[in-house]
Amino acid sequence: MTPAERPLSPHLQIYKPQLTSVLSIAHRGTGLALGVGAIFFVWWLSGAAWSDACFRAAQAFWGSWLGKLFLLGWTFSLFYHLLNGVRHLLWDIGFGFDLPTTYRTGWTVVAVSVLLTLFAFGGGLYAWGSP
Amino acid sequence: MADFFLPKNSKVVEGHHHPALSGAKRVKTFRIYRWDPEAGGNPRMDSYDIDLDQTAPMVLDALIKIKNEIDTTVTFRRSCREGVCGSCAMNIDGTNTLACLKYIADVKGDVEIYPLPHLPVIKDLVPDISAMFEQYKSIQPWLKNDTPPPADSERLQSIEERAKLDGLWECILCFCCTTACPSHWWNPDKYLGPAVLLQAERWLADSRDTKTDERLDQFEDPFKLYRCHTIMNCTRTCPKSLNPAQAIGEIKKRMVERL
Amino acid sequence: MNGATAIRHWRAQRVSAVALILLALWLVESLLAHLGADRAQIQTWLGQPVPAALAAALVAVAFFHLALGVRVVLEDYVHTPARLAAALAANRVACWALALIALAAVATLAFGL
Ligand code: HEM
Ligand code: SF4
Ligand code: SF4
Ligand code: FES
Repeated sequence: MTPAERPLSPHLQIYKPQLTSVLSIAHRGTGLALGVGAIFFVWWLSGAAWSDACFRAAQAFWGSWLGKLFLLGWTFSLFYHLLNGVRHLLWDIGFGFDLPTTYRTGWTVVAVSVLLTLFAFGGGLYAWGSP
Repeated sequence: MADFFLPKNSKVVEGHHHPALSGAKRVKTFRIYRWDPEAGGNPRMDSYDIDLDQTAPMVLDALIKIKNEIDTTVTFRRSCREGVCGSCAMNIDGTNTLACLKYIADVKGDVEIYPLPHLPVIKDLVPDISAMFEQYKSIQPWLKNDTPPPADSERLQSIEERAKLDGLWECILCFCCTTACPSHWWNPDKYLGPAVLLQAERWLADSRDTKTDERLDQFEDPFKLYRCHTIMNCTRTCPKSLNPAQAIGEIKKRMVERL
Repeated sequence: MNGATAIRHWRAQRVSAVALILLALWLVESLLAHLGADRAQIQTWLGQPVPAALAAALVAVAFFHLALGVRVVLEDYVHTPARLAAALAANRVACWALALIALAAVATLAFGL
């Protein structure tokens, strides 16, 4: 008889999420989120350069709930991607490859990006509310 | 697209349960991936309850006990049972490791055992690893040196030169790392993967090998080396505590340095 | 992409990343300083040479870095050659277009056109 077609062994479905892979895919996710953010930034910048209506629409969007949510996401994305980017650059010059260091720098990146996000976004909201 | 999902014939279904013998006190359940090429159909998870009081401490001991005493059809590779042959590599409790080096006591709850991820399954816990050995062959893992060796001795190395091979020569080619690497999952045919790249660095770092440039030439390719995104799953999982991600980092450094 | 291009691509991603560390921090600081600013205030801000130069550098480097990054993601996941080629082309065109629009906007603000 001909043997049945071989199945593919499970991968993503069963592999335990770990700090290593989660931070890595988060770097990719935040990089792409920043790309979307950059498009919005160009929209706002074009408004400032060429069109009152366009500029006011962009400003109104930042003021809305959805706009603020996006801003929160981009703020975190930027800090996370920046700090984890530095982690990448250090790896690339040969520093921090051992597992204990990888975990230490990984958790540091998460903690510092959360703190910076709260600080910048919270400070921004406060300043915006009371000019 | 990269295959993020399992094809239809590979979806895992619930299988048979084999209860423990009566009188067992410390019962642990082992859930094992089963697929039989002669029966065909979808793979299934069979569960086996065994008495830990009657079992030696390693996951491989439990597998051997199951095969000897409960179900002789359970199929897996093993040889040395002491972490030097690389045969018993599999996915245990969500990460790749050697069954003979993994303590049962380190697993909380049921012990879930799958073959190494994202490979064609030959039977049960035995995946087809030949494609990765082909990739291994492609880096020409042998000493290359055009000059003849000294007439009266071997090619000698200083202690420092020899030390550069530490952390590389110990690799047992179990492929735990390569099959833990998401980048290799998505591009198994084009990306060489951590095990093979660590071996590549082993020859690049060898003072007796003179073909460094030629060896580096083959990595001038967007996929073979540069699909490594420093995810670090490889280093995280290596049962020999080696650091393939670092070895790959060394190759990337060699590449920019000669640009 | 052929051989040496792969290394250059990798290096360009790192070099642009180093530049972006400072440029991105400058952006955050500047945006916080201009919260709720009206159009005239933005025009005044980017009408100065140093902020205008930094803004131009930021958009140029960021879209360069983005184009490189998205290329890697596409090569990872898209395996049909025709689809990959189309996606890579779309990525290039989009990043170039956005970068040029952004640079034109900065130039308009900088020279008060
Ligand atoms: C703020 C400073 C930044 C630093 C230090 C930085 C650093 C890096 C580094 C080192 C990589 C390569 C990672 C790898 O090889 O896997 C990368 C990838 C990437 N970056 Fe950035 N980046 C920064 C800003 C940005 C910005 C502003 C954007 C968007 C416009 C962006 C989008 C991306 C994308 C899409 C990738 C590809 C992700 C991947 O391959 O998984 N980055 N970044
Ligand atoms: S590097 Fe480690 S995990 Fe990878 S093949 Fe070698 S021994 Fe196995
Ligand atoms: S560091 Fe590179 S080789 Fe190791 S798991 Fe990550 S992508 Fe794969
Ligand atoms: S049986 Fe040899 S490594 Fe486990």
